Amino acid sequence: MKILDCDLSFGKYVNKTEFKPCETLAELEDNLIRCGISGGLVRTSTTDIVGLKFGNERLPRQLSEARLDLKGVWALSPLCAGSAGSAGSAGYAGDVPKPQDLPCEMKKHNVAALYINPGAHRFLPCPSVMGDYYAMAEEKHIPVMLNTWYDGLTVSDIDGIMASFPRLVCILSLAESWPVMRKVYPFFEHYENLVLDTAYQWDDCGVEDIVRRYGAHRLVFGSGFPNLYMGGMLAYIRCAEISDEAKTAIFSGNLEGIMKKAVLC
Amino acid sequence: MLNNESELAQKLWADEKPPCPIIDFHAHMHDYAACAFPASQPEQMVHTMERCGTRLTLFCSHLAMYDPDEGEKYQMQAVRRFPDRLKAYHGVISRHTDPERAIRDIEDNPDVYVGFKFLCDYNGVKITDDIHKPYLECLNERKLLMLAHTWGESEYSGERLMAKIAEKYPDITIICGHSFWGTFDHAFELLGEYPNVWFELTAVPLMRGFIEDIAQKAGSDRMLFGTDLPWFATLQGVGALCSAELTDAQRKDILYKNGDKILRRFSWYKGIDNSGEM
Repeated sequence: MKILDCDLSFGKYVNKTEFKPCETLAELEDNLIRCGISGGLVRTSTTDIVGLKFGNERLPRQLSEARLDLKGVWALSPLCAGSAGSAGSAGYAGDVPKPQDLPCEMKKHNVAALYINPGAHRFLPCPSVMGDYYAMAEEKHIPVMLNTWYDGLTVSDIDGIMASFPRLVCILSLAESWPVMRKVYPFFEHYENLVLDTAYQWDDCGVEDIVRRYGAHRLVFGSGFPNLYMGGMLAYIRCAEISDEAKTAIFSGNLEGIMKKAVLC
Repeated sequence: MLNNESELAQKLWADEKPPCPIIDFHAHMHDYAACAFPASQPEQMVHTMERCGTRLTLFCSHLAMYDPDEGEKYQMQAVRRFPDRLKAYHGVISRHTDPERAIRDIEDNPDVYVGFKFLCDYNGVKITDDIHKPYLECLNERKLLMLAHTWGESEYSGERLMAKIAEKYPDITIICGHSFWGTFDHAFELLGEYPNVWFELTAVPLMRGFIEDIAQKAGSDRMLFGTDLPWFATLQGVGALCSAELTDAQRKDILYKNGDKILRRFSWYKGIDNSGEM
């Protein structure tokens, strides 16, 4: 069974972390191979600690040496008129390609998705600030990962984004609370292209409940590694009381479908 | 495959079911205001147990942690409906205590109760508060189990307070629910010297490295499996254990072998034989 993981990261942390970090790409891949996962979407802590532009540029270079089918995820920051494409590497605004240039840059650098970390990069995630990027992603079906594990991104923020861009392909990770159904089920009702990363879907029979109510196409497998153990959601979904077709979709089919639909150039 | 270095993990992956028995030392039951659980009623939880190979679950319902009258009746009914699968912790609501009644319940219903559950952080009362004394003396005299919600460095249930309890009541089997989640240094060294203290894993699989930390500092022979069911899926916890850096022997210690030893004091307990049968 092919397994792709939408919620992977690696990189050093200079401050103490509660979880055991995965510092290198090689270590990440060793863990993936050990668990039988053949690829996925990868972020790096470098982007959130050292610098957004620095991390975004470094990640594709690192992934070019990957043994597995790993695609990068780039962080977004606000577009500021007059500063787009500025030469400096330390700035927080204008250090991401302009929305109209971003899809081609993503394709060129093997980047398959975008994410925002408003706490680390210190900006507001609201449509009035980030709308140009959300509009482009919505139009091009480029997945945007909205993860409440990051400071500065609340469920209300996510609703604000999705209400303005209701057809946005959103991979949602609700890390701040569980069970998540009272928060995520209304999103399923309203936003047709929103899917849930399984990494934080821990409640007993929760996966089965989502599949029964909304269909397996609303879930994409994510382990949350290295914050979480890679095997937790692997075993949960493998043993869930859902059909084999549903398991295949969650483990790889849905993410493959999302990536295939994205118009990157 | 889950873990290509573990026979247990590979068998789980192939059979879509854990290949060894499980004893769950920390579960709940019933609705809870903050959540909509898909499977929180006794028959639903037993269904989950059957699916996961959980032989026995020790629980304290959410209702019993709020309303002793309704809650304890509910627990007794659940256990008597599934006597081979469920046993209960009697709830201790630290701000509304009634030790006489609670001890009577324990004495009159040895087929139902294994001990008391304390939720000191929620109630805002220290585990060492005198109000808990009759409950603790009861457990000590009868050599019963105490499940305590423990959080790292908590002023109500932290490791230093639990050490005092372990010292004073050596015949209580103290199950530290969540293993002082959030502490990564002191608890296991401080409490490891007390043979009556056990570290329970509910929520621990949410933090990579924490399982190995406890195993290294306290030993896998001092760890117990738990889920908070219906909060956490059993397989999420088992899967995390399977991918943690442990041996299969350590995983089996945690999943059922340690628990099997603890439960042999109860006359109703039939034990798990070498084949994993109960």
